[in-house]
Amino acid sequence: MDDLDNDYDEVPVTPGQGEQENAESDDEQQDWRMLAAIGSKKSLPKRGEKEYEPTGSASDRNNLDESRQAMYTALNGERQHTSKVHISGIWYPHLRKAKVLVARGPHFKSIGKADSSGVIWLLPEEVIYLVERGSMSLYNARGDAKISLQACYAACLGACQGQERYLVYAYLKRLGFIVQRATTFDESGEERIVQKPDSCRIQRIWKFLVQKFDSFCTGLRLAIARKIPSFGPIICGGLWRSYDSIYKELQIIPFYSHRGSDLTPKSTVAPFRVAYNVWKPRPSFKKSNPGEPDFRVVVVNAQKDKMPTPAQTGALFSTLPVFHDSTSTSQQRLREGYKNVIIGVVDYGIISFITLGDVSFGDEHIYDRHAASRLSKHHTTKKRQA
Amino acid sequence: MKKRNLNAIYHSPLPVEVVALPPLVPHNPISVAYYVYQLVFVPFLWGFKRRRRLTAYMELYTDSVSSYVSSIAVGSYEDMQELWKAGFFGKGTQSRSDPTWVLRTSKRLQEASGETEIVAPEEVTARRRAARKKFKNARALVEQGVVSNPADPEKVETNEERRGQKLTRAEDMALRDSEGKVRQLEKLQLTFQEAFFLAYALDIIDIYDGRTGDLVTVPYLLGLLMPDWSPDNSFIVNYVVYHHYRSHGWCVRNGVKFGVDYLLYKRGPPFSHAEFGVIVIPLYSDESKNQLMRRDWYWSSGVNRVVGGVKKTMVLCYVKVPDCIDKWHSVEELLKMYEVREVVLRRWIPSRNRD
Repeated sequence: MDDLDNDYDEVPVTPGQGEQENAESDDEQQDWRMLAAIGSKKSLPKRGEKEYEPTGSASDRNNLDESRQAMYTALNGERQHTSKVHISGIWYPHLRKAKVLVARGPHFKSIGKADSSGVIWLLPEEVIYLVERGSMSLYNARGDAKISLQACYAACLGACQGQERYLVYAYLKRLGFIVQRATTFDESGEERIVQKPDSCRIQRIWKFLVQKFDSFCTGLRLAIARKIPSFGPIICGGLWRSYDSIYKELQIIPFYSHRGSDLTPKSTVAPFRVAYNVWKPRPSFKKSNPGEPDFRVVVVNAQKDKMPTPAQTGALFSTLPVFHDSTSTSQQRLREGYKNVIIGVVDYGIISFITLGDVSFGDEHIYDRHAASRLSKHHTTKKRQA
Repeated sequence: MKKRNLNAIYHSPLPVEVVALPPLVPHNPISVAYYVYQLVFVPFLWGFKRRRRLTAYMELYTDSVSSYVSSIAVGSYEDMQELWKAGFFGKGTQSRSDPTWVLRTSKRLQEASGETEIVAPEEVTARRRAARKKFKNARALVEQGVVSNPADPEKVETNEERRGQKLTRAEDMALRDSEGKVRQLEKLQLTFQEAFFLAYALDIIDIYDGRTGDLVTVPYLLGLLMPDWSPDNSFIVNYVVYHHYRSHGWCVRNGVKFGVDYLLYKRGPPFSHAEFGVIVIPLYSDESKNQLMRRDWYWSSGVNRVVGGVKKTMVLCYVKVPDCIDKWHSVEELLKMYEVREVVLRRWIPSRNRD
């Protein structure tokens, strides 16, 4: 109990509490008094204001004491679950999988994989997750001894490709997400080919033509401009008809573009490979036909792994499908990326998620739209006046 | 406060004049004639028109070993206004950004006559902060139980009272010239990237050496700004990024206040907050060097928190640096040796992305 004193705000959120969280609550401390309030007629406490500061008053101290006491009471409670949905399984160390003896309960909607004979097998992270939350009893291969939680960790964690990956898996599972291993989970797994080769070829031909035309124009310009000093300007004193044409002339810096980029997947090296596919919680989820995942998660260790270089990021992006379709706005494409991936950064058990998005500011036309919006605004104000 | 017509004040995104073609109505002969006039004669006449050029002064710092540019600034009021209004270049040395010192000072000195109602952006902020502080004090009193009625806050100085106190300054007389006008003591300081962009890319500014009064040519300026000519010189790497975003229509401003290299505004500071914070990272052809230069997650988390806290998106802008920049025939060729690649970084919060 004593060691809990120091880090009580880091205790993982259970699904029950998660439902009561509002959208703003992720960074705030848990108010444990709500546990004490459940079942009684007391209403739930309101969340503090953003600019709240402790006043050091007696009521503040009283609130804190009450909250702490409620937490202790909650943690002291015995964990129970009905025997109806209790699962039991056998761990086979050489297979690195557990065979489920009795598959019951809602977990199997998103967990486990059935073989041809209908027997459901669990992956090691699924085993630890179920045993840890008390939903499953695990037995040794002979089936005569129950494996304790500690022994379960010792047996299964090695097969999870690192502790960090299990922590991220369990964290997302507890929050209600559906999490499955991606094909690139193992070192040997191959990337899927995401893009169709047809569009790829057209884009390559287009890129080739654009390059040829560009080099032709540059050559022509160089030939004509022998007298012009080589130190600019780009925008000469001539007459310009629009800012758009000025911007086009200014665009001389080469940039990485989605349109011309090579679309064949490159090989990725751990840790910068997609470890898990993640779906938002949905009742219609089918293990056999999960559909495109909502998120793809890469897991890294903050102590060992630094941020990826663009070569590593590029290889990772090349294995991902395009996130945005043609209906997305340039705003969305720039903020969320044309493709994106989530990096779960694990530092001594603390998980921080960061999205990396593949963007190209050069592909988006920003000035164009301003002109349009300004014109339309001007138009509407005129109308109103009339 | 009456909202100013921002579109009218800041109508052009760059300090370059544009003459748009009129709309053509084919069945109206006058329209056709006017169109042809605009299409043919205006460019012809344009050749004889002298464009007004802006003037900036460069201060050199020279010691026994080398000399380097310490500042480039614009001094004339008209030039400052033009650079600020068309593209939001530079920073007023006595102002937050927009060079409003003369406006604010003459307003302060003329306050007694009570005729002006022009409000500088600094003053808008000051008023808002004063109002918020007043509110917070009142709220704190209520929370501590000192005052029970929040509608009865202590008497706070009004704006008029504060201005009245400001009016009496002994040194104010020195600010006026012989005609009683406020002297132009403020300058618009340009970043080196801005100055080079205006001088090289747009060719609308003449930079003079502050001491000798000589015109600083573009090649000379480039030599001063990147004395070592190394391919990953911070000036050229930053300039590539600055030019890249400017050329794609963004208003690019310094981002040091938010821990980034550049801020990207869609149109400019008066219209909206910056949407992106850009961090410039050089990228070498030698992958092992890139591996060594990788930053850790603590760094990205720190910057991301600051940038995210002010509702901006963090952009990592990698600039591919060539191995050697000795062979080029024009600055354009030099700039084309570099390449830009971007990655956006955002915090992902599981509980907010679940439903």
